[in-house]
Order: sequence, then structure tokens, then C-alpha cells
Amino acid sequence: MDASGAPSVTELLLAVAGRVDDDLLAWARELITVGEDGRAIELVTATLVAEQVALPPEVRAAIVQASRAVRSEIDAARALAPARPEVGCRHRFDPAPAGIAAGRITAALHPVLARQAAGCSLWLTWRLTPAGGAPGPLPHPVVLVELPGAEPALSADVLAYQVMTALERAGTPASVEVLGADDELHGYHREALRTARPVEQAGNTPKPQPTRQPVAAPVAAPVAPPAAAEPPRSGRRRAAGDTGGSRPRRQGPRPTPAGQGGDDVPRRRARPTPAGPAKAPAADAPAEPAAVHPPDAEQARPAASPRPAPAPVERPSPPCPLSGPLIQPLMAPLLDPTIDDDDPLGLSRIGVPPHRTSEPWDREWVTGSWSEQVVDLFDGRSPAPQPEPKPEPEPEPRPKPELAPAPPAAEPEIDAAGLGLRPESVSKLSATDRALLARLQAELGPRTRRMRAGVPGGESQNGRTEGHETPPEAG
Amino acid sequence: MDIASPDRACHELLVALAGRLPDELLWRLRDWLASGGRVALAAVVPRELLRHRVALTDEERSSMAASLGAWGAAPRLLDAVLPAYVLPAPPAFGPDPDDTDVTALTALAVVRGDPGCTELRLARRADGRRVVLVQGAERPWALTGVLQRVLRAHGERSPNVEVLPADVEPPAYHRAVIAATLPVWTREPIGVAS
Repeated sequence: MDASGAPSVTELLLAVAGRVDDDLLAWARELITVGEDGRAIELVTATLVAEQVALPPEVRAAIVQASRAVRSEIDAARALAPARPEVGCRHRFDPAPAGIAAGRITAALHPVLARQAAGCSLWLTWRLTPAGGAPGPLPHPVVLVELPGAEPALSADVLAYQVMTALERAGTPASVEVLGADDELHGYHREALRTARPVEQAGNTPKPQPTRQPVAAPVAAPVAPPAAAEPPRSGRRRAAGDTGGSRPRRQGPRPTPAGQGGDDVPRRRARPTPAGPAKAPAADAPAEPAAVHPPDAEQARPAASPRPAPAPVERPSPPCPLSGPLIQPLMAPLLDPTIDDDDPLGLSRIGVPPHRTSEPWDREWVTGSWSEQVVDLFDGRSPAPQPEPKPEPEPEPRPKPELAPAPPAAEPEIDAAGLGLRPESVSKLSATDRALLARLQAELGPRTRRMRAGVPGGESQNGRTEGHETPPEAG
Repeated sequence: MDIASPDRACHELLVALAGRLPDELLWRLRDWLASGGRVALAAVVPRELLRHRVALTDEERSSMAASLGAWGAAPRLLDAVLPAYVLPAPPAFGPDPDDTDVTALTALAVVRGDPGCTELRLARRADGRRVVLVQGAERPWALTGVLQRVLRAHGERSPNVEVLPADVEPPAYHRAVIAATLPVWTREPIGVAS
């Protein structure tokens, strides 16, 4: 509520929750966050006019006043449906409707609870009744955020926008209602809070082990009345036309979740006070949950609760499907990712540098030097590549003790008569030919002699005579 | 253009604004028209046209004057709407692969119940949004509202429902839908079938 006594835009949107569709409410809150209050009020007013929604007198008067304040083209006083006092809440909520899993929503809310909404209490319930003229599918999730004190770190608009965005990005859009410490509870929110469950307990989040401190005991533990620990709140002015006193305020006794006991116990004091990041599960909490809040904001929050800080939830890790022997690979991987393309043989592991040198391979391929390179696997040296082949120097003969030393070069002796050649013919041969001929004769000589001795006719195995093989040379 | 009533003129204007105003706003404006929220439309539509700098052709401006002007829109705002000489190119469309899901069958059931409807098409816009196009209806703005609420109940947060009056040339946006799809359901117009 501002200085003039008119309700703020945020309070107006809280007042019309459940009377317009949830998408419009989310859109209007986003517009307020970016500073377009006028457009937000105009859209909400136009929707209320178009659908002829009957508002309680105080809410209708507040809408008319806000519409005038933003200079809307709509004459809300005339266009809005006549006021009608609200009798009860026409909406029904269910904390755990059948067939609905809240796991994704709670998972998306846990990081928010650790950062933006640190110190706040988050509640989740599901609305079973349609809201607005064009409602979305049901049940519809409703997240209720209770600010910790009169001066929260984030305003209700900004916090609602950030929580909504987090849920949108997680693919689980939901309505987000941020309730300030001094906000009055409308019937919609009273009924929603009556059935809501803490985010830690909503959905399929496993309960902590009995040996651990319960994460949230919203209403079970009786505590001291709120006036003993909270500073006195200044009196709040109500919106124009507010009936005053007909709507319970947050300080008073609040309805408690069904089935959880704690009647007539103020819910604010009964709920666990989130002690910063310790409330969020460790698995979902970012590394620096408190970094987004300035130190003074941290100090402005309620001091350490007399109750011990709730321990973080330790979710049991799901059984690993590959536990036991199956976690080992059944066969070695076909592709070894550790193979170095530059050293496929793993020469570097035995002290030999890779074959690749500073010269690119394509140059080696073009010049043909790749075929001349010799890698010494033992001393690790490779000859420097040479662009042009040059005559190699005579290699020094290495001593080979196991082999006999090479005989000195001598003129080979050729048995010309044995070969059927004349001496002058042999003399015409070159030295190489004579050497080859002498070697051939040395190898074939004993066998030829055996054949001559064993075969008198001198016929060879192929039927030819020697005379035919070695015809006399002419001339 | 035959402007029989301000409601029809406003419907034709909102049909022509498909693809030129944000979906989350356009479906709401059409819902207001189906609900009879003429005052709301007269106040919001001119401002949104100016806010998004949507220019109108002469024909569209005539529809705006015949509807919003008649419902009390501020002449200053109506005059400020930009004139259009070239309309933006429509987006790309393709057939809807989910043309037999529950939402489509529910929409078909609603369309068949309107005696003026002659055709139903389902398309997917390039951004993945489903587009329901109906040709012919006795009160197209009312059918638009019904179909939008059906789609929203099935999870379409910003339904794209285009109901073309029988005697109106489809705008470029809707011609693109027609060119990209085949009818899911057709019926001979009343008076044509023997």
C-alpha cells in the first residue's frame, strides 16, 4: 500500500488471483516487474470488464482507483460488473491430486529456495477449479511464497517474476503467489495455504532418515506466540472500501494443513525458519547460494531460529543399473582413444621420438624422401631429409666376426674347356661377366662332372646333347 | 467490404492482425470479443496497435473505425495508428503431424456443430505453434472464442484460431496456411448442396 492509502499493484494482483486466468496474472506480474504498471492494470481491468467478473466491493473500488491512476481508457467504475461480497472461496485445492507428480516442480523450486527465495517459505498446492473465462488445464499448480519479514531482500513482484521464470524454464509453469509479511490473506490464498504443503515435502521427495532432523515440520511443533519474537508491526492502512477485520491477517492464527495437527498455532512460528542455504537440499543448491543477497539483507532477516537448522535432505541415490560386474566393460574398447595419431606405434613410450619431423609429410611425399628415411629404433636418430638424392659415401665396412672376411679381389679363373668355350672368347668378356661365369661354373662344376661320369651318352635330362647346347662358334 | 455489424468488423480486424500482434495478446483480444467485451477492446486495441507499431491498410482501418470507433475508442488514438502500404510477409507453415490428437478431434467436434463451417485445417507455423483454421461460420467471433477455450483447456496457452468468414478474402497469413495444408474436414456450404 502506498502513501496515499491505495493498494499497490502487487496487492491488486493478489486480490484478483483466482478471478482471472493464470496466464494473465503471470503476464501482469511480469509487466510490473519491468515497470509497466499501467499496462498491467489496463490488461487486468479490461479482462475483468470483458468477462464481467463480480468483485468484492473493496477489490472493485481498488481496481477503479488504480485504473484512474494509470489513466486507462476504460471507465472502470461504469464498465466493471457490480460488486458482490465474497462468501467463502469458490476454489478448491488439493495438495496431491491423483495422477499428478510434483517432482519436477519441486526440483525446479529447490534452486530458487536456495538463492532468490532464501529465507522464504515455499508451499505447493494444486487448484482443482478453473480460474477466469478461458482457463488452462487442471489441476493447476500454485506455488505460495511467504516472505520472511517486513523488509525482504527481493520485493514480492521481483520474487514472483523470478520464481515464475524458473518454473517456466523448467517446463513446469505454475502460478506463483508471493505473500508479504503484512499482506492480508484473501480467501483464495487462505484456502490455498490451508491445503498446501512445503516444497520439501511436496511431490515425491523422499523423507529424510529418522536419525536426521526433519526438514520441515510446518505445524506440528508448538512454539511461542509470534508477538514474543517479532517486532511490533506498524498499523497498515487498508484499501479503499476494505471491510476491515473481515479478512484475517497473517499475524493471527492461520488454518493449518489438514491432517498435520497444530490447530490454533500460528503458522508463521510453526514453520521451520529456513536458515539460508542449509534449508535447500545440498544436491540442488548452487555453490554460492547466499551471494545474491547483500550482507545487510542477511542481517535484516530473522536471527537464528531457536530451533536447530534443518539438515539438508540427503536423497538416496538411485540404484545404479550398472552396479556389480556389469560396471566393468565386457570387452576392451575397439578404439583406443589414447592412441596418438602422430605416434601410432607408441615409439615415444620406449624412448623413441615420433617419426614426424619438422618437415611436412607432403613435402616428403613429393620429393620421395619418405622412402629414403631410415629410423633407427635404437638410437632415436633419423637422417636429415635431403631434397635431392646425392651419391652416398661409401659406408665403412662393419666388422662381422661371425662371417669370414671377404677374399681379396682376384681375376676369376674360368674353365673354358669345361664350358665348351674357346679361350679367346673368354678373354673378350668383361670382368663382370667373367666373374659371374666363374661363379656359375664353381657352383655347377661338381654336378656337371657327376652327370658326365654317370651318363655316358652325355645326354641331358631334357634330351639335348651337349653338342647341341654348346655349338661351336663360327669364325 | 460489407460491414454488417461492429462485432463482425472487429472480428475481421483481429483476423487480419494474425501474425502482426503477439499471440498472447491477440488470442485475448479475440476472447474479449467473444465475451462481448467491447469496451475493453475499444480501450486496449488502439494502444496495442500503437505500442507494437502495427500499421493498418485502409480496409483494416475501416473495420477499426466501424467497431472500435463505434464502441467509444478515443479518436486521438485511432488517428494515430500508422497507415500500411506493404504488409509483412507471412511466416512459413506446414501440415500438422498431430492432426488426429485429442485436441484436434475436439476442435473438429466443435466445428462440425456450427452449421456455417465448411472446412477445418490444422497447420504448424514455423515456430512450432499449432494453427487452427476454419472457413465459414455463422458468428465467427463466437466460434473463435469457443475454439480458443477448447485449445487452452488442452494446454495451448496462446491458441492460434483463425475463423474466416465465408465472404471475406483470406489475408496473406491465412492464404499461406491454406497453401501449406490439406483440409482435415470439409462440408458443402449450405445452399450449395442439393
